[in-house]
Amino acid sequence: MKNDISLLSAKDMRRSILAALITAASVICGIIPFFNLLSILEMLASRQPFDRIAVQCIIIAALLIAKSVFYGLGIAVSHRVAFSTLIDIRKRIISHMERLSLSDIAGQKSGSFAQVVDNEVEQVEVFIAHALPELLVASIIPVAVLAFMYTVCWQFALILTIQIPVLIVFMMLFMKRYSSKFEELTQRTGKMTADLLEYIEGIRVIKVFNTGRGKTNEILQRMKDYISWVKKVSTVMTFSKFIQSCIISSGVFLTAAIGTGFLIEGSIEYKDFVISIIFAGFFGESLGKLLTYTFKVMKFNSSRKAILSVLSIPVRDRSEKAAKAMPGDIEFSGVSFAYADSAAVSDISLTARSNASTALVGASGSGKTTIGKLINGFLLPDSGKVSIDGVPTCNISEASIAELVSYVQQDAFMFNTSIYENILIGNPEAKRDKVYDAAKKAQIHNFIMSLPDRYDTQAGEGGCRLSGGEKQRISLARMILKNAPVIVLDEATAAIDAQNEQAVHRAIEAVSKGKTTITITHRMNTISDADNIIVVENGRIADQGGHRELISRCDLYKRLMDAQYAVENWTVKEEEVC
Amino acid sequence: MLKLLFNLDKMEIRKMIGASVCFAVSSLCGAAAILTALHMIFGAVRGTVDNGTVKPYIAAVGLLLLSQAAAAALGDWLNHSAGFSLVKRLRQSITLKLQQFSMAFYTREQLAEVSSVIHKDVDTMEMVIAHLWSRMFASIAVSAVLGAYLFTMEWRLGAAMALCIPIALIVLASGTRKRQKAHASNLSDNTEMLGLFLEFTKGMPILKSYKKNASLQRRLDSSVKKFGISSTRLANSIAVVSGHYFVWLEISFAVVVTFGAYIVLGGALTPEEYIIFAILSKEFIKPFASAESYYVNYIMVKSSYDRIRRITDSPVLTDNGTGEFPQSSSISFEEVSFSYKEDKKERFEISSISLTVPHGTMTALVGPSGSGKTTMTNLLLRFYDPHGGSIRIGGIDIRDIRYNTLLTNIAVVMQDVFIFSGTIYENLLMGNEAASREQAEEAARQAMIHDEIMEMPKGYDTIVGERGTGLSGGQKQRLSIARAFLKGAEIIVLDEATSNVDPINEQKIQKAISNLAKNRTVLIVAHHLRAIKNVDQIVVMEKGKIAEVGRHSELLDSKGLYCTLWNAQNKPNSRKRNAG
Repeated sequence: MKNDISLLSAKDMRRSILAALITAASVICGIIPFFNLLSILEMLASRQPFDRIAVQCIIIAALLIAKSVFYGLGIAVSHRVAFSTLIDIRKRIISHMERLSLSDIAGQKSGSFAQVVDNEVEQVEVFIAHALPELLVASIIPVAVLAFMYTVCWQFALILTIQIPVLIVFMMLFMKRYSSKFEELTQRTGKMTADLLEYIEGIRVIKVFNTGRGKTNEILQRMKDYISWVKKVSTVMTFSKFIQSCIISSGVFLTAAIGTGFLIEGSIEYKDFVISIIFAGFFGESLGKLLTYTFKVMKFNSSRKAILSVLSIPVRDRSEKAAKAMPGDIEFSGVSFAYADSAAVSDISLTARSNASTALVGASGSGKTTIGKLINGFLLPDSGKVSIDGVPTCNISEASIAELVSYVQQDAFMFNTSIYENILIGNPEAKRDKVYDAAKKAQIHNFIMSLPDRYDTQAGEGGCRLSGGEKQRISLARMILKNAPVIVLDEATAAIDAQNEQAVHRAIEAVSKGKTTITITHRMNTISDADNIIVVENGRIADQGGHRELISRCDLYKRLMDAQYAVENWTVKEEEVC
Repeated sequence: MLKLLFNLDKMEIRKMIGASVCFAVSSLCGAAAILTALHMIFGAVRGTVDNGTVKPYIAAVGLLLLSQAAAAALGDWLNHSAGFSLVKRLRQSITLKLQQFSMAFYTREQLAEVSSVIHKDVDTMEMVIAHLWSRMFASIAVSAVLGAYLFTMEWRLGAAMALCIPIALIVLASGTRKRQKAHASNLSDNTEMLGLFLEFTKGMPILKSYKKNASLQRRLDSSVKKFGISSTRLANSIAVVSGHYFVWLEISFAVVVTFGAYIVLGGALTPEEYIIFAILSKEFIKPFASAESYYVNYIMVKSSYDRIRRITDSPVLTDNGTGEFPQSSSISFEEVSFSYKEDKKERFEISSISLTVPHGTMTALVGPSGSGKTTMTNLLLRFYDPHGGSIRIGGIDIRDIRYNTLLTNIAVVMQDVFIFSGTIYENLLMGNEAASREQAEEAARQAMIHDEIMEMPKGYDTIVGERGTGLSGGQKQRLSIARAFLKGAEIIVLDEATSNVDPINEQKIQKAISNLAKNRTVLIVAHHLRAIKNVDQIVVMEKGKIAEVGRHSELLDSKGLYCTLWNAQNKPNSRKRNAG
């Protein structure tokens, strides 16, 4: 399966082969003039007239111009490949994400898609545009040189060929001996980076508590230790580079030494020998370049792997059984779900009745949000069954669930476009007055109208120009505009300021009339009217029922309610007890 | 460029010069090895070199090649050494500088910028200045030496060789300017496109939860198209400029070959000298072939340097106060005015505010959002200094107190809690490095977190991982309050905002805050009016001015803004019945 995916599209693959061919042509055009140069040398030795020599000169000039032209063409093609790959991979990741189920997306580490779309793809682009042409030149030259050498003098060819395994063996021995050092280097560098990051991120705390000197001295000392350790390691690396250059230089040296012997014996032509020495020099230079590119190739490979690992997340095929989601009771029977490291909910059975209100309460981290995500198919159960109107969610197409359910999260995601467009996401076909109406209901209309550009105000990247509460109200406006029969509110009003809180709650109450609502919240005072209250504790259901039943029999519920009462009536300055 | 070099200290300059010399020697040894080899070959052809006399030549070639490798290695080593020292010094100076700003500097964006500067830009400085520049100086020096040698060998041919270089450089300079433009527009198109792609990636759950949104898709498509066009233009312009430039450098070789042959026929040059000239002319051209990358490196290092300077040159807080912290911790704002935009003084964030918080009492700041409540506490902490009036503690202007002393004596319960990786105990010590274990435990008790710490696997020695993973939001909050206890400051600044934790946790946080505020001088930015109804003084702010001052009951009676706010938050019909 994995092998089926290639990094480059077929078109870009063809183009990069073209780039390689053009580059090869450029390299050949750069090599041939040396033969002409030697012909000129011979003609000069035999004192032939200048016009005969001039022909050779013109050929040289023509070849060199061709070399530059090919070089330019190669750059043009490889840059095009780079840019179109940049677009192509990003598009493929997006469309792959569109095909993936939300549960697969949610299963990835947060930010890993973004990391791939941003940095890894960029790495590939930089490599193809900049490193690849040079790398091609550096790999074509040794091949061309070796091919030539075998036709001239097998001994020379052998000397150069042997260099390659010698270099490889040396690198392997070196890596074997020092790989632990390199690992340590990566680790220490990572640690140093993390330490510095932590220091910078925590600087406010360090500053406020005025313990700066201690922390600052600590970080400076660590930096010093790190640098002096790295210096030591770099000595080892420098030594290895020295050996590498010696191995590479030995090619030219041996060619010269042995060749002179042949020349004195008369077993080689002087012309062939001179050109062999020049080419041996090119060969060594290219090998040296190739070695410096190993790091870049490694980096490229790791980016390639990261991209392919995202593109090869298998798509779950739900389409064939795709039933349409119909409004109805939402039912969990024996549902368990675990994140990579720990169980989130286990053996949950519950029913959220159609056209009734259900509330999920419990301590932070008890598993309420996981249950919410299981309802709308963001997550699929590991075992057990979640069904809507009797149909298991894993058999319903995602689009159909999306149509049925409005899921409003605590972190309302904003697109960097106008506020109007952001609300319109709720229903792209809605008319302007419907959008205004939704905003009014969500208690955000007046705020929007107070902005300089009103509904055309840009939300900023990730909604950075809006406060958490404003984003949540816009997100509620989306929900109101969508007008879906099932509403899941996951702490959807937690960041709304005290001044608007009650009005927002009244609005939610109004729009959720006659709908199936599931409210996940810490605010116990907002849910006591719910038709069914489910108390969640450590990933299991502790109890469920109406407010009156629970308050009399469920200890956790009573504790939460009491705490809520105390929180509501808390005063910073406690009343003096007389 | 010189300005950039002044960043190096003496030792680093010496090492860099040493490295340049090493690289130059290395290249010259390489060239000399080629020369010696050619002499040996020509000798063999002419018969002056035979099996008996060839050994010194071979030895010389070997020695020169060895020196080439050794000099390069030594140069590398010196480079690394200078580079690491530069990295260390730059990071050190940024870190030390970071200590001197006012709190206003440390916004999230600013800190992200600092992180990126301290890693990426410092590395760029090292890479370019220590590594690439010493090689550049070396290759320029080698080119000069070889050029001089070739000129003395045959000046006419030397002149012919150099003829094309000015043309090439003019072509490059004019082309680069055009290219830079193409590059800049391509870069901005790319940034825009990436932003949209990232938005799609991050917003995928939202997009999938709603009907397909054609307008967002169109936005992305048109951005991709725009990038496609500008990148094709850029690719073409890069290709044309580089191709055009290299043509001239290559032609200079053709000129050498042609004109050289003519001179040889004239008898002024031997064929041997001719070929040596041709080969060395290639070495002479080399630094010109890299001219473009030198320029690119310069641009890169310059922008990194500018970013570093932006941090190290940022204005620090004027901290020339010498006063001790006063005995009384009463706070008074006297005719304080402040605007975030210094140039637009007409629109003050707060204007002419006068207010006194008597020693050991609690004052709450309330009012609609944007009324200037948070600005007041920011000014007290000297995030900014007021543009008019003064703030005094115990009668002393806070600008006359050493900034560190001021911060030591004010405890802030912040919304963003930062937990350092380390043990819980170490994290508590942030509040007061000299605190004993008993004091730390007492502070934790006061902050309602002691019992939960004791339940952890290793109690106070439990390691809380990177950024305090393993602690709930409520626990982090209380740990931060415990730090404030340890600090023992007389003045407390609070922001009573809702934290999204369950009520049981929230109740504990509230209790911790009440404990902390007891018998201290407290300034609270309040949102839930019920929470502050017992405080000694309530200041109602509106549009940067004080609207009302008084106690809860007085303010309710006066039927002003406070009364309106109170009623909005406490509509009797919307308050649910509670368990009590």
